[in-house]
Amino acid sequence: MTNQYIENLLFYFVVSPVIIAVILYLSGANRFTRIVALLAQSTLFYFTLQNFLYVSHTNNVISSPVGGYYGFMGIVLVADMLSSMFIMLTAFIFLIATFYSFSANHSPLFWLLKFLWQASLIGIFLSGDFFNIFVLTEIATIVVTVLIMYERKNRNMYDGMIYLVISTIIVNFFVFGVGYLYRMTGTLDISLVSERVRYLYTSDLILPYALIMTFVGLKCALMPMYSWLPKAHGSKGAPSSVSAILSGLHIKSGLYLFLRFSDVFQNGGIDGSQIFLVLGIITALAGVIFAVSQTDIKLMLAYSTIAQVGLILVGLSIGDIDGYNYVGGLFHIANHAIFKACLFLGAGIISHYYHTRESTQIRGVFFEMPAISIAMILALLGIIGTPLFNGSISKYFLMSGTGWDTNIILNIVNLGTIIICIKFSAIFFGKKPNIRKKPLDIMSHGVILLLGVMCFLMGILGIQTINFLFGYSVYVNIAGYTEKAIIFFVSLMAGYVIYKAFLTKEGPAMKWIRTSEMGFRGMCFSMVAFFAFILIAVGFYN
Amino acid sequence: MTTTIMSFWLFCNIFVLFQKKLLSMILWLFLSSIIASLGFLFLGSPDVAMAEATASAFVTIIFIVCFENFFGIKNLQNFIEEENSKTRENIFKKIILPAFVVLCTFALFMNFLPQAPQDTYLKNLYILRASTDVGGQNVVGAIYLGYRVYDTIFEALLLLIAVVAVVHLSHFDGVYKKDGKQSEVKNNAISLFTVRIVAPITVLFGIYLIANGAITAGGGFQGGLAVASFFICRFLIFDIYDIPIKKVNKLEDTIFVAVVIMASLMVFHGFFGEIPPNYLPIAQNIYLFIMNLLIGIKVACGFTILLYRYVAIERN
Amino acid sequence: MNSIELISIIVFFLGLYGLLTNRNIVKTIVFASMMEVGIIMFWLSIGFTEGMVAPIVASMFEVDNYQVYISDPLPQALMITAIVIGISITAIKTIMFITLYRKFKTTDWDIAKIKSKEVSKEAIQKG
Repeated sequence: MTNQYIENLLFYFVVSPVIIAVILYLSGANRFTRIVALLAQSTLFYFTLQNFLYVSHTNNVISSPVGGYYGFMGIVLVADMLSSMFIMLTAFIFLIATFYSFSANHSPLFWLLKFLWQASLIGIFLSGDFFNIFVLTEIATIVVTVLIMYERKNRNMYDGMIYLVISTIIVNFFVFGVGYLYRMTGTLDISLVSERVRYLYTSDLILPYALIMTFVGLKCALMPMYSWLPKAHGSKGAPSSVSAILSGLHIKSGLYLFLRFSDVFQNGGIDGSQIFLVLGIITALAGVIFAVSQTDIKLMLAYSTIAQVGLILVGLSIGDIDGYNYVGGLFHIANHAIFKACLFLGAGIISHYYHTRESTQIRGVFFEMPAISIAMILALLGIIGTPLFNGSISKYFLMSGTGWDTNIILNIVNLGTIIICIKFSAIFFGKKPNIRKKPLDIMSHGVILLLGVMCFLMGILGIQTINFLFGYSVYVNIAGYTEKAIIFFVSLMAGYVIYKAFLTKEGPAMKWIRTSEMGFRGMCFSMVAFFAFILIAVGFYN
Repeated sequence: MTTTIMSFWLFCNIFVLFQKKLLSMILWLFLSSIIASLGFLFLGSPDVAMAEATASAFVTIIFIVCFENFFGIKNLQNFIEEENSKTRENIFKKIILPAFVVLCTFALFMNFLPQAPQDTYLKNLYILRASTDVGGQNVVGAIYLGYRVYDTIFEALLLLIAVVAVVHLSHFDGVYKKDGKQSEVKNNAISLFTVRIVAPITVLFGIYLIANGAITAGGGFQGGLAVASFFICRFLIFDIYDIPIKKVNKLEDTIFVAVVIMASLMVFHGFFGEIPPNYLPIAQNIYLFIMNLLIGIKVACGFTILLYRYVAIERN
Repeated sequence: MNSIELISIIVFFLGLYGLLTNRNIVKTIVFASMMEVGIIMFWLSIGFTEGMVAPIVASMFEVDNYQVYISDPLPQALMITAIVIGISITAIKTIMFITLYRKFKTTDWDIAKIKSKEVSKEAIQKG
């Protein structure tokens, strides 16, 4: 295991899914397609794990120029601990999705799209070049558009059209910002740009910062540019594994880009953490309010993703990179991938057998499918932050050391998440419905159960997991944790009371929130408004 | 001189905004892209000029042909917002408010415009080292086939995905049903001129660009687009739909795999082994020629399939 | 502050204005394409001096004399990529519009939104 070996490996992480995808597509539909896909995913996961172990043990930053050219004339692939963790997470989630969709006999087109999506995500996480990120983002956008309209019967063309047009418009902002950065620093390489911006005036960097952060803001679904997310993640024409990967992994690429680009501009003197703290709080509150008003189980999960991403952004923006909040944010990224994937995959199976996605019409899942119910209940306990589960550890670190006002708002967000989960869990109880018995599918049920159990294990072994994944040694203060547990139980009871009192029947306010939707022009307005807001906030505040 | 051409481009774009009919908007956009292509030439970028010219022609063909197939050419001229007459409320709010917002953002943009001078670090390095590192005389070709070949792999991949997306997202069963009606543009002077004189020159020029991409301005992408235009002419003007689409699709995918393999060989081992022979001009020229050829074939196949799918959509 | 850079920024904002005012889907595709050409022009105007030459070098000796007038090769390579990406995406958008029109029979974003909600309500009621 040498440095040279790992450097070569990085290129193959990105290129081998591409080759496998095209070969599977060319060879047509046969028995071996899904077996080859499964083997390929497992091999990829093994090698990303090996890469991660190497990077975390030697504490190196592997920087491999593609082609070995002098200086930074080529494109550099960078694998530090954060990137390696992300590509390991990518390989893991895609492996889970492959197990899940193993029994459904998908056409080669499905595997082509899945592997290409994986290649573009791994490429984004490993890339050290601005323009390369643009090309990979466009590939990911097109692949996701085709995947969310994969099933011809159920597809909603409007969803896909909105997602494609909005994503490709916002990427123009990104290319504009990179153009300014290239002009001022003479290079496109991220590490070289971070060194060179030290010699520039801060006032010169405001405009590229605003342009690039508008793009990042839409990718993370911050307010007010969140409308594309429920359409994409809760789309009716998407197979469930696609929604799971979207909410678990695809949105994390936006957060990853946020981390990388904030680092670059921090060297230049622009500190946007206050702005993103406020934006994260607003996004979390809005996501929770929207999620509570939904009745479709997948839309509930999609809006809750928005809220959790807002929470992660709050954690990443308070304090500095060595602080507990930052670690909490990073750990919440990994946790959210696990429990959201579990919930989406479970919701997919449930909606397939009940032939509906309305939470008012689904009852008695616990008696019908006990294994999935247990897994999903574990994941729900994780997401609300039950003590001893992974969500509570990450939320504890996220909220440590904050002032009393931020603490109150974050606790309100947690209360909202609890209400959402109580509303969601109404599907488990009730009387057993009259649907026909279905065959037990070991692979998909087993994999959901695995994810649910991981939620619990990552909670008990939280400190060890954080040390393994991120290299931070953290310490949980027992008194603080117990206090947080007490607040949790109080919020749980309060949430149950609020749910029973106000939300069992849908009032007019809830109905208005649920059905209001931004049109296309509203979304364009929100993009321009966000851009102007960042310009004003950074320009006149710095 | 350049500024004059650019201001013509700006006026064309302003006129795009003020059109009511869709067809005139598309044609003004096409005109502005052609003027932009000329402007790129004056900015010292013949490669980009060629790419933009062929690309804008392609986009205009897509707009006009698929709508013609779909709505009928007579309807295209009157294809305005029919629903507009029913909901005419707040017409000033719909025009003045966006204008105000855009003007404010523009003013903010201009306020924060960076004043730093250009840093020519990479530019000087590329111009000095491209012919020895990668070979050939076209620095732009050396960049996207040598230094940034990683990006070129993904650009070719994007073309492949675009073809897949177009096939999957349309309600097309894969069997083209010729509706028996000849295309309306068959027998007039323009189509005859195109077919007899322009198309052969274009395809020869495309092949020239692909073959000489390393020595002069040109390359795989531009040449591929020009060659694709020849095949597109055949079924636009003559209604000849004899291209075996599934085989061309498989050819495109196979060539994409070949492109990736060539690029990976280049990235890791140099094309002919270890580093000293890799700097031999003969090895470099062979690599550049083969890559340009593969990319040219791939792009030609890809765009032909794309437009074939458009033309073959059943009329409603 | 380049005159061509200013023109390209104006074209970008013209495209943005067009996106904000039109309700027709095809027109938004046209304006999105206009924004992309503006960005391409911006990148190519980065080192602009009048009378630039293409970066095709016959030999390294001549480069030293004319170095200041050779245009920047990196934006050109990137913009060829951007042009190809742009037209692929425009092609995909138009095909999606045709399928949308076939289903909903409208070219207006707001009416398409209303109709798509009706379709999903019917799907829920059918079960």
